[in-house]
Order: sequence, then C-alpha cells, then structure tokens
Amino acid sequence: MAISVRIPASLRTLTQGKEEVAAEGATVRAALDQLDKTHPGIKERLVDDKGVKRFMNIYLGDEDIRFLDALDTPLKDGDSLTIVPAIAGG
Amino acid sequence: MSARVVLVGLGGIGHPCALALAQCADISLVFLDDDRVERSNLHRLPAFAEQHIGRYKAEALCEVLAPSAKAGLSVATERLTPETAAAAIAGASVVVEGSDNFATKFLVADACALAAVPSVHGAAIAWTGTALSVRPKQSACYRCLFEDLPEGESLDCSSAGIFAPVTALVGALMAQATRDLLAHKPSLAGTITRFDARDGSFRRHVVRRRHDCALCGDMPSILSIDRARYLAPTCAMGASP
Repeated sequence: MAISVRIPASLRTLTQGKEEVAAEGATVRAALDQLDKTHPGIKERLVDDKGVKRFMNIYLGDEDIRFLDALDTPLKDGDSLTIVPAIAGG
Repeated sequence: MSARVVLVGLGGIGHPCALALAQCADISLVFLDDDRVERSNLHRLPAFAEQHIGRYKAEALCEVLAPSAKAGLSVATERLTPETAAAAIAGASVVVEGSDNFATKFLVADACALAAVPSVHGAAIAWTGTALSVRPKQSACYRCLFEDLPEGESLDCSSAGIFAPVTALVGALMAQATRDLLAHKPSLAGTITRFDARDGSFRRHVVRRRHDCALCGDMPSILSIDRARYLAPTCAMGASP
C-alpha cells in the first residue's frame, strides 16, 4: 500500500527537510518500518516497545490510530498519516 | 462581573493573544510571567521596542496596553510553580497557556483540570503552531493528547527555532478559542488546530477523550499537584528555523 506521511517540523531533519514523504506498508507498523529504512532514525522517535510514544500522536486521516488498531491499523493505497508531536516553543 | 482570564506566558504566542484579548471590555486579564524582554525576542513581541529590553514582560505589556485596553489588566511577575499554581488560577474563567516549556504546559493542564477551569494551550516551533482548547469533563484534555512530558529527545525552539509570524497566528487562534470558551459556544474544545507556515495550511484533528487518561479518565491517578511530575528542561529563546 502506497501512502503519504506528513512530517512535523521537529522531525524534518530526518527527512532532509521534506514535509511529506512516501511510504509503503499494509499496516502503520509496516509503513513505519519501511519509512525507517529510507529515513533512518525516524521510527525510534515515534514509537517504543509500548507503541506510539506518549508525547506523539499518529493520525490516519483525522483519526488517532490509538482509537483504531494502533500500530496494527490497516492501510490502503492513498492513505495519509500525520505525525503530531508535543511541542513547547512560544 | 467580568470574566477573569489568566495568561500564563507572555512570549511569542502569549503576547499577541494578550493584544487581542485586551480589547475585550467584558474580561479582566491577569498577566503571569517571570521572564524579561530580551533583544532576541523583539521580532515576535510587536508591542515592545528597545526601551523594554530588560523589563518584565508582564509589567511592560500592561504598561503598553493600559492606555487603550478595554479589559481590566493586572500583573504577576512570578513563575508558575507546582506550589503556586492552584492559587494562580483560582477564580479564573479561562486560563490561557502560552509557555515555552513542557513542565508549565502540563502543570497548567493539570491544575486547570483539577479546578475544573477551561484552558487554552498554544505552542509554536519552526514553521508550525498548534492551539488546543479544553473544556473540563466535556472535551479531551491536554493529557488525552499528550500523556506526559517528553523524555529529553523532543526538539524545542532552541534547537528548531521559530518563524515569528507563526507565533502571532497561534496567539490569534488562542484569543478566539478563549472567546469561544467564555461564550460557552459549541466551540473547537477538544480539537487541535495545526498551522504550517510552509504551505499555509490549517489542519484540525479531533482529540478523543481517553478512558485511561491519568487526568480526566475513568480512574484518574492525578488527583493533586505533585512537583515530581513537572521536571523538564526549559526552552531557550532566540533561534531561527
């Protein structure tokens, strides 16, 4: 499944400044695994052994994947993931 | 009797929010910030100029706004701490949190939830800004969105910088959210609004209440303010994206 992932400003150092990158996978977990191969280090910024990190959110469309099947949430072609981290600037 | 709005943090996002709310005749504003104006702040604090450098942001802003403000203005040049939080927000109709560090954000979120005071939380980093308003017991809270303080690796404005216009826009969003909460409108409470200056896009995500939220869930574990929960580094100012 070919999807797009919107990258927040705080993680764009890992995507060469790109705000949106492509990924592939049948689930969110698989997509993040694939994304980590093209953009090493990004997965560990998003998830730990318990799942999505507690100060991160990953949305599939408009829905938080925690309220779907978390990292096992299935994906279909054209889906869009959005990463929303806690930020504290001001 | 006017609504009492407490603004915690008068930096890049709290400052423009204060400029907007100061024109509301039906509220009284309390400016709470222990920070002083620095030269590197001036590009995102439009009411200030050279002569304000070194002064308390809260005092200087009150002085600048007083001649034209329709809202009542008062000042506290002290840092919000776990020991002072409950008293600082007591009697508030809404607390507007525009601080630059996670410890204060979570402290305000917790203190407001425990006191059943609505709150508005804003943040900005690099090209992105966010605003979230919270209506206790009715909408998702800040901890429904972010469970706890980041563990050292999150970027802040000292490492990613801030594009100044983003802070002004977030301040405007926060002011509008405050008005909506005060008017008891079926507002965007529980919805996080995100702005990305690179493509000028706004996106909104509904934040669902978590049944296992430590603050507002079915079996909350946060029942009081405990200093140990709010240990995190602060954000140095002045970087550019």
